[in-house]
Amino acid sequence: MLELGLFYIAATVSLISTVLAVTRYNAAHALIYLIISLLASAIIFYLVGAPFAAVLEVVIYAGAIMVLFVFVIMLLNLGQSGDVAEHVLLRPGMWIIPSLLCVILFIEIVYVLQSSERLLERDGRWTQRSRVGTFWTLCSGCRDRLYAATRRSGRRLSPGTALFY
Amino acid sequence: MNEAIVIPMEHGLLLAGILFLIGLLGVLVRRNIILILMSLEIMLNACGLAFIVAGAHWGVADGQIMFMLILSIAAAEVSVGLGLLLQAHRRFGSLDVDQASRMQG
Repeated sequence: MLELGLFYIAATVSLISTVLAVTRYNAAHALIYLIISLLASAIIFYLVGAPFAAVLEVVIYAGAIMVLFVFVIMLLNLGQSGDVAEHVLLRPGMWIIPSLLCVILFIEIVYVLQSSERLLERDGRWTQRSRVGTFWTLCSGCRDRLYAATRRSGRRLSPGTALFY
Repeated sequence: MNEAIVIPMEHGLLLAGILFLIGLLGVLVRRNIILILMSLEIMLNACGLAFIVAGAHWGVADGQIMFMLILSIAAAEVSVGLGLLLQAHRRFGSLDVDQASRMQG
């Protein structure tokens, strides 16, 4: 249960620092937030049960690749130059209407997916359904179809494939 | 970790998807080449996160193998991209991608 809390804390830190990294004007500031985001990802890797990947994330991503970025930023001596155009693009007024339209489309696709889930439940063809979400319903639907196709073809499941079921 | 699979896969995949979207928005919105490259890194990292979460959920090591592949791809991509960036800075005098939007035909 403690791990779950740690996961959510690390995920929140990762999201916040990534948003800040993408929205900074100064490249060096964005780089620092990006490093924080990568460290948070490393913590998530460790919690999920991949300690070697966590070490690789810190050593290669936050170490080597970010040092390349720092090197280039310092080499070019980037100060407050450039990106006047971005001030126009990042103004909120430009983004309200497209974001509104995207939200409408998102609501529509969530509605469609959920109603298809309801249809499937009424149909009762697929035995494995989930209560968690539509994404998992799609995944398990594909899996069940794959499983049925394999059974029909009469082949034996390889050990690697059998892990999926 | 003795109990490694307590984290629900949907939340991990959701986090990876949101991170990927943030990176995609960064690529689309930003005009600074350095920040575009950093957004690409965010997207690659989100892919690696999705692989590792899914691999941990099914208990196979393939996710971590794919993460290593993504890691090496990211390193190669960044070194090539930064080389191109240095060249573009030398030629155009700035890091704005809109400066390079016209061909000399």
